[in-house]
Parts: sequence; structure tokens; C-alpha cells
Amino acid sequence: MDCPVCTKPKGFLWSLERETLVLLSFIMLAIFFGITGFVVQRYHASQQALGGRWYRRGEAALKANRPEEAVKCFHTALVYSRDNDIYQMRLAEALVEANRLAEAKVYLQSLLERQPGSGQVNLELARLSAKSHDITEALRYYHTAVFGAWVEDPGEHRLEVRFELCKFLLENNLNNQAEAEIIALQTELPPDARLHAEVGGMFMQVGDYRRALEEYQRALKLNSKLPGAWAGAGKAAFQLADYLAARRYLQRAVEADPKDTEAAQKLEISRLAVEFDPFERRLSERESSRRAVAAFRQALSRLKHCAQSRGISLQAGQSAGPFSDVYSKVIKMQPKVSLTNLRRNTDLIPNVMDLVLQMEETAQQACGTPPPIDQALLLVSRTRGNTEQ
Amino acid sequence: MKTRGATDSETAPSDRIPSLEKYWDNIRERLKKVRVPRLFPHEEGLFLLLAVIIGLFSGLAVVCFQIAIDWTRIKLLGSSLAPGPAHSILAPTIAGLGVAALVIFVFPRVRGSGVNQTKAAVYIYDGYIPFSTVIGKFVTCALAIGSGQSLGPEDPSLQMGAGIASALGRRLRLSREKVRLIAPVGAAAGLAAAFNAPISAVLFVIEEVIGRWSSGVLGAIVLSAVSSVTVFRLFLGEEPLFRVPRFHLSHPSELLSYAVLGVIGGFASLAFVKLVSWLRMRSKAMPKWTDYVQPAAAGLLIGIIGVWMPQVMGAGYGIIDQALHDQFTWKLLVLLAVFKILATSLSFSSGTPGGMFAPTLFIGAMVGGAVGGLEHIFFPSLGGSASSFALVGMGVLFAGFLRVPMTSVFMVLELSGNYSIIVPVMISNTIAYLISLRYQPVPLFDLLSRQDGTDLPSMEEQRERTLLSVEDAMRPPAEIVLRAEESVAEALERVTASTLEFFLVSHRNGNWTLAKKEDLLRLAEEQKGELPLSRALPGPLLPCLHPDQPLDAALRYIGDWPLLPVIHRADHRNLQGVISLSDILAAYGAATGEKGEERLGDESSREQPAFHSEESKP
Repeated sequence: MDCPVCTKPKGFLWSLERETLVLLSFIMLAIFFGITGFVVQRYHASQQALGGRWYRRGEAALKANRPEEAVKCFHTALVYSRDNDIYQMRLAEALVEANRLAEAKVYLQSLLERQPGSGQVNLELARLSAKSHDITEALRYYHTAVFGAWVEDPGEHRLEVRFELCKFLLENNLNNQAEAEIIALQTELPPDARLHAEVGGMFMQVGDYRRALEEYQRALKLNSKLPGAWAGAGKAAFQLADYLAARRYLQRAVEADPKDTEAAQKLEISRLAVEFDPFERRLSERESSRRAVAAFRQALSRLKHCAQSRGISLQAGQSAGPFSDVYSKVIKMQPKVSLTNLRRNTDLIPNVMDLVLQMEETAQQACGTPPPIDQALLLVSRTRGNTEQ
Repeated sequence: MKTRGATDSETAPSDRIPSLEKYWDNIRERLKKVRVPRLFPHEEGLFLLLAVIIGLFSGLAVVCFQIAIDWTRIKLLGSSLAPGPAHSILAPTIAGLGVAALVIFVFPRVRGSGVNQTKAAVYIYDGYIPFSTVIGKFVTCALAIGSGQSLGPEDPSLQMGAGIASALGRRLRLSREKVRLIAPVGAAAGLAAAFNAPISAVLFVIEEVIGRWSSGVLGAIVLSAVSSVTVFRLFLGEEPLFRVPRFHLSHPSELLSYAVLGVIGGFASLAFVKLVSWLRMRSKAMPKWTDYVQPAAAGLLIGIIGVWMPQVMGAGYGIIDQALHDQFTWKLLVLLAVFKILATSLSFSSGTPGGMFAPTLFIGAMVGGAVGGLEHIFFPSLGGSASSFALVGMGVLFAGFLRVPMTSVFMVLELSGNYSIIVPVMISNTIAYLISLRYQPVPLFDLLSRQDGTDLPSMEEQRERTLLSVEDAMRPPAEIVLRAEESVAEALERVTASTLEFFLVSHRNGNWTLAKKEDLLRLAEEQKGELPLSRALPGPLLPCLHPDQPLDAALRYIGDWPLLPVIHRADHRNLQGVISLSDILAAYGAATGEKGEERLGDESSREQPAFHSEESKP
């Protein structure tokens, strides 16, 4: 290559002064800026259009349950609109759908770097961590999502995240943490019967039946026709040994949904428990005694049937173990268990019911789940024992 | 009815309406008469302002260039990331024919590496790069890269920047020295915009084009790089070239994996250089008429590869981005690295204009990702992310293939924006660089220039050159060192038996002077034997040297002195040695002899026999 610096003919530009040439350079620069600006504007417009086209294809693929294709489409959309957070979020979601969790996580983390306080990104990361069974990470992201920023309806989104967090904790048997979260959720609930019933169900899962019953009652106040709420309230009351209330709620539940066998079963037990409970308030001495005698007879009958079915003789001294122990107590108690005697000596009723409990428990251990009437007796006698304790 | 205007134009068109030419002449005359105040009495000021202007122009040019590449890709290959087989095969083949025709008939100077052409402008052509090269690079590279040839836009951007700078420098009638320096300024601007990374661009130009930290040009390079990146970001956004995920070192033992990456990356670089060099030699040896079809043939082969692996087509930034996000299995990453090496070697050796930076980053990311993937399989407890390996891998290939160790480290830092990655990057890059240096003594850019029959200065050789210091040439302290407080008679008594002519005289204050035996004899004859030397021979003072000073400094100071003292830096009366002109020349002679022998050894193993070193130049 020759150096033409010296050989090139000196043209018009060579005759101008340096300062004029600098000025001309600035003018040319301004023109070039203008042209580039126009080109870039057109370019961005076309890129956005292409990005949008591929994004729509991705959405369609995702709806059609073709996550791999959706991933490709969202990838392409991102090539044309790489700082579009929506595309990136959808790509991450498609990757999760396609079970490509590691890739999804990388995308979400890069989104998180850009928007560390984003509720949506944190929620997606929480779901991802939950899928990967990383409970600590999941909880961290869920909590950040709860307190994170949401573009639309922040209150509603936070509530949804709290629900999801509670469900996640329940799924992972973290009942203590779950209870704390459900209590926090309870305070934020809007007047929505369905949500109250759902929270009630969660309280049931963690064993907080009192709060569960409260939530079901609130739900029923808001909507007495809410499916499942009567049954929920009934079951909560049942667990709280308030068989009278349980019978009332469960009766409505069975009326609303006759196919609900669990409710029907519990209703039957509740009904029997109410019928056999000698400790119910406002009962006359005669009625209490009558119920105690009936309970004793029923329990003894159950014990005898069970022993017979297991081939165990209840005659004194013929067998060892729980049956003979209980039966020996029964033999001692039996002469005292009469309507007249118990009416005269009502202090004996608790002793009778203790023995009923022992008989039922012994029979249950040997012969499995008892019929409803015996279940009811078990519950009634246990409840009294628990109350005394 | 005729209007008045119509009547006038019909009657006397040429008299009343001046032609365009007349307008133009008028503007020219007026421009010539424009008298603006002298704003730039000194060239330095103009040079710095020009650096900013160059940066702005280069930034705009690179923005347009990137858009042109993208636009071409969409038109030729479609908007999908995986074009259909017909597009994959036909687009690069037909575009290859077009590129060959343009290169042969219209822009013959666009062939080859932009880095080397910029170096040639600096070292051979007094900074001259024809503006047609800028246009040629723009058009041919946009067509080639957009059609799927496995090349990158950084090298052409660098050359476009250099070309713009050269044109502006010449138009503004800068001195020859400044015009020579202006091309690297533009090169930095072009590269900075292409990478969207000013620090890496500045370092690359200093490391590979200029080869020294010169304050005269550094400011201009920084200004141009910053202004071009600013323009680029203004138009195409602040986003970096890649969306780099977070990096964290899970455990210090993970550094071992990065060392393994350095080894694998070093050998991958080696394979890449050897293949490029071999294929380029073969393609150059082919008959002349094949120049018309070589880019098309390369395009066809790449298109065939692209049917199965569309990822290897084009610059591949999107694919690097995906690798950085753990989206490929290690097996696929290995395949991508292998086929990218093949595709890039084909494209580059066929004479298709385009750069090697993006493919280098691509291969590095794939190799790194693969090593990271394997680490996950064999050492899952380490738990490092494959994307971190992909990121470090880019630097590794940069260090091993392009042989720019400093740039490679800072590039990864700049791209990741994460300082904590520096330790793995330094480990891997150093290993890769040393492997490449060991098994491929001539760096890629030097290899290419030598294949083209040009002898450009090798920056690596300059870096590796051993600098001679004073201690390499000095002799042990002279047998007799006189003290300034000694009398002439005493001094004469001590030196009488010596065969030497000159003796160093040490003064209490750390100064040194020289005493000639002849002068001592004369003073004795003049009955001045009782006088102390400080009074009898007061000066002149000798310039003093230190053992660690470069030998060049000794050469500057020695002047007419027969010998100079080499003294301790902390104790100026502590004589470490003496040095004379003959000692200096002997040291230079010995060093040149050794280097010459080394060179001869290199020559015998080199493909290009016509080579003479910098040192052997007159």
C-alpha cells in the first residue's frame, strides 16, 4: 500500500483553515447524529415489533402447553427486546413449565438484580426454590415477595402470596411457622367468605380448631350458602368437643351436600355423643344417671363382643392382660351401676364413665375402629377426662 | 394564461436562476473567507479535541454498523434464532460471492485483520488509512456477519474508528507524528463502542497496537473511547454486551477448577491459532481465481454446520448470553466450541472481512461453560455455577488466543462488573497465556502479518524483551579509590604502581570526581604535594549511576567520561562498581548475540522465513 499523503492533489478542503475545518466537522457530526438518530429510532421500532411478535407466539405456545416452544419464542423475543422484563419473566415461567429450573433461576436472579424489591420476581423465585425443595430460600423469597413492590393491586397480590406461603408451609409440615403466618394472614383478610373459609381450613390443618371455627363462623356470616363452610365449622366444633354445635353445623352441611360422607359420619357421632353425654349441663339427675347406665351397658357389650371375636374369655382368672383387668373392674362396678343407685349417688357417674372409657379403649386397641355409638362414648368420656385434667 | 414566474423562467432561465455549481462555488468562496479566531495555537489542544470528535464519529459509525449487521441478518436469515436449512445454506454462500466481488473489485484493502492494518498505519504508513477502507469494512462486514459468517464486528469497528481518525487527522493537517498517533485513538474509540467497554478498549490498544504507556497519546485514547461509548449508549442503551449473572466463589478449592479451565482454554486457544494459521496458509496458496469463491465456499460449509448448529453462525452474542445463563449441557457446549473454531477458521482464512474477537469470546464461553458443567457432575459439592465458568472462559480465550493478558482480565471485570471474579480470572488467564506462549511462540496478530509479508512490531516481543540495566554492564569497584581529604603526595604514592590512568575520588558529601595520574604527577612537580585532593583537583563532579538503572541511562550520562561510579542508592559513598563506554557496548553486544541466537532458533521453526527482528533493524 503506497502512502498517498504526499501525492494526493490538494483539494478545496486543504485550502480551509483548521478552525473552519473543525467547525465543519461539528456540522457533519450534527448531521451524522441526526441520521443515526433517525435510523436508530426505526431500528428500535422494528426490534420492538419483532420482539412483540415472538412474545405473542411464546404466549400462544405456553397456552397450548408447549413450554419448550414457548421458551424458544421468548428467547427470540428477548433477542429483540433484551431489557424487557416482562419477556424475561415469561421466559423464566416457561422454563419452569419446561422443568428447566436452573436456567429459570438464572433469569430470575438477573431480573432480581435489576428489581431487587419486585414482589413478582421474588414470588417466582420462591416458587422455584419450593420446586427445588429449598425451603430456606423459598421462605426468604416468599417473605420478600410479601413485603415487595407490586405494580398492580399490591394488597391483593400480597394476600395471594401469604396464602401461597401458608400452603407451602403446610405442605412441608412446618405447622408452627404456618400457624404464625396464618394468624398474620387472618388479620389482613377482606370480608370474603371464601377466603375466611380457606383460612379456616388452614387453621384446621395446623390443629388450631378454635381459630378455625371462628373463621368458618365469619365465612358463614358473610355467606351462609358457602359450600364446605358448614362442614368446616362442624368439624372444628367436633374437634373442640362441642358436639352440640357440631351437630348443628354438620346437620346443615349434610343437608347442603348429602354426599359428604365424612360430615354425615361426624354428624352421627355428634348426635350420639350429645345423646349419651351424662355431663351435659342442665340435665336432671335422673337423665344423667340414665345416660351413664346406658353408656356402661353399651361399653360392656362392646367389650364382650370384641373379646368374643378375639377368642378371649372374660371369666375371672382365665386370661391375663388388659381385658381381664378391665373386666375385673367391671365386675366390681356392675352392681353399683343401676338407675336407682346412680340417682342416689351421682358422684359415682364420673367413675362409671372412666370405666366406660377404659372398656372402649381396650376394645378399640384389640378390635380397631368401633361403631359410631362407641366412638361417641369414647369421645364423651375422653372429653370429661381431659376437662378434669 | 401564463403566470409571471413561468414567463420569466421561459425567457431567461440561465440568467436569473444561478445553477447549483454557482451556489457551490459561492459557498466555497465564502468558506475560504471565513476568518475564525485561532483557537488552536498548539497542536496538543487540537489533538485532544479531535480525539473527542473521533470518538463521537466512531461511536455513531459503530451504532450504524451494528444496526446494519442486524438488519442484514434479519433480511437474509430471518428473525428466528434458528433459521431454516435453505436460509442457513444459501444466505452465507450467496453473500460470500458478493463479499468476494466487493473485496476484489471495490475495496481491496478491507481484507485481513483490522488490528494489523491499524498497526501498519501507525508503523509503516504514517497513520494513513484510506477512507474507502472504512466504507468497505462497513459494507462487507455487515454483509458477511449478517449472512452468518462466523466473524465478529469488533475488529472492523476498530479499523473503522482508526480510518475515521486517520481521515480527520489528515484533513486537519496534523503533523506527521500526530497523524501517526491518531489511528490508535480512533481504534480505541471503535473498539470501545463495539464492546461497550471503554477500559478494555483502551487497554487493548495500548497492549496490542501502541505497545507502551505514552502520556502523549493516552489522554486522547481515553477521551475518544469514553466519547464513543457515550454515543453508543445514548443510541443503543446502557445494557452491557452480555447480561452477566452474579458470581460468587463457593469455596476456595473451586479455584482448582478454574486452573483446569485455564489449561483447557490454553490448549483450545492453541488449536484455534494453529487451525487459523494452517487454513490461511493453504487458502493463500490456492490459485488466484479461487479468491472469488473462497468466501462463498466458507459460507456454504458454515451454512451446512448451521443447519444442525445454528448457534455457530454470526457473531453469536445471543448464544454467549445463553451460555452465561446455564442454558446448554456440557456436551452441547463442547460441540459448539469445536464447531465454532472450525467455522471461524473457515471464515477468516477465506479472506472474508470480519473480526475474531466475538468468536474468541464465544469459544471461551463454551469451553468455560463445559468445564463448569463437568465440575457440577464430578464435584457437585463445590456448587459453582457454570455461567461463572463461561464468563471466565471468555477471558481465558482472549488471553490465550489474542495474547492480551491485561485486556483479558479487565475485559471480564468490565463485562461482569464484579470485582470478586478477579482471582479466578487471573489464575485461568495466566495459565492459558503461558500455555499459548510456550507452544505458540509467535502471537496470532504477528503470525497474520508475517503471512501477509509485513513485518509489524510485535508488542509481545517488546513486552518480553529483557531490559539491560547498569548492573549488567558494570565492573567491580576499581582497586584504588582515592579520598578527597588525601594529599596529592599520598594519592600519588598509592597510584604510582597502578597501570590505570584514571581514579575515582570520593568526597565526604557523597560526591565523586575523577583524578588523572598525569595530573597528580604534574601537581607534585609544581610542589603542591601537600594540598588535599579536594582543593588540588576540585571538579567537575561526576554523574553517578545506580545498579538498577537501565543501561540506556548509562549511555546518556557517560558522555566523554572515561568511567563513572555506580553507587548505592542509600549511601552515596558506597561504591558498587564502575562503568565505562566499552563496558556498556560490551553488554549490549553480548545481549544482541544471545537474542540473535534465539532468533535463529525461532527462524528455523517458522513458516515464513522472511523475518528480521526489531533489534536487527538499523
